[in-house]
Amino acid sequence: MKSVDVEIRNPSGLHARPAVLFARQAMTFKSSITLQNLATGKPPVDAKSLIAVLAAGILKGTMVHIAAEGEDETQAIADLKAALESGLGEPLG
Amino acid sequence: MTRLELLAPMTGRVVPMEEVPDPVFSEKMLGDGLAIEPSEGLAVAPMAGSLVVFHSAGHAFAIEGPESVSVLVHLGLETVSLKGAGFERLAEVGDTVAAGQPIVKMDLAAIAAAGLRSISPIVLPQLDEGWRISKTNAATVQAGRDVLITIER
Repeated sequence: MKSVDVEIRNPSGLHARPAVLFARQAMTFKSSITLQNLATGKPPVDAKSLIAVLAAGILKGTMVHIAAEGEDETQAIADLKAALESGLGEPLG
Repeated sequence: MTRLELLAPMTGRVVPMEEVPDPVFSEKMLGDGLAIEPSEGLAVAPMAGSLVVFHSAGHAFAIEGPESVSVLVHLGLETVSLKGAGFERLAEVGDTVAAGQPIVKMDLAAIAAAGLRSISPIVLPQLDEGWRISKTNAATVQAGRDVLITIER
């Protein structure tokens, strides 16, 4: 199991476009991957499910915890952390 | 055979997803579906289920219905930037909703005044393989009354 905490800096959080890019990137890994909104205390959700990622209600400034378990967990965490920190194609506020 | 019917969540003109002027929708990154160019601002639940997503900005909601099928309604384009202005919430996350139940009212004049488009994509995100999607041929639909999309497997 590998995990990391990242602060979301997209101006409107993980709304449709960044959320789908995140979920699609998560889908490229074999590991099971979860995303947890640390601001709400709600349980982790499946990072590969777009609806689950949207339902997590991740806003600008939210800290999230990503965890991966599987053969490519190290790469998954590194790539997803980099993707979130880069803004998933959006300019960051 | 399982058959699910999704009602039009809004009243207006039916637009193919490929013609939505935002690649996240037109390239079906979120999933297949149809869009509606609304003539009225009220958006209703396209099917019965649980309101699993209702963005804090009021511009997008998703309902999870039978067979783990979810439908996402995105009201307007880039409307997340309005931070809730122009949207009146009529339901909340976690609500069990009936098909046709009002979910949110979009102020079409306010969206236009903000320089944004009110065209609203209705998508089926991550629909399991095996479902066949058929879309209405109607040019216009009435919210909560006309079937927009039927899926079968």
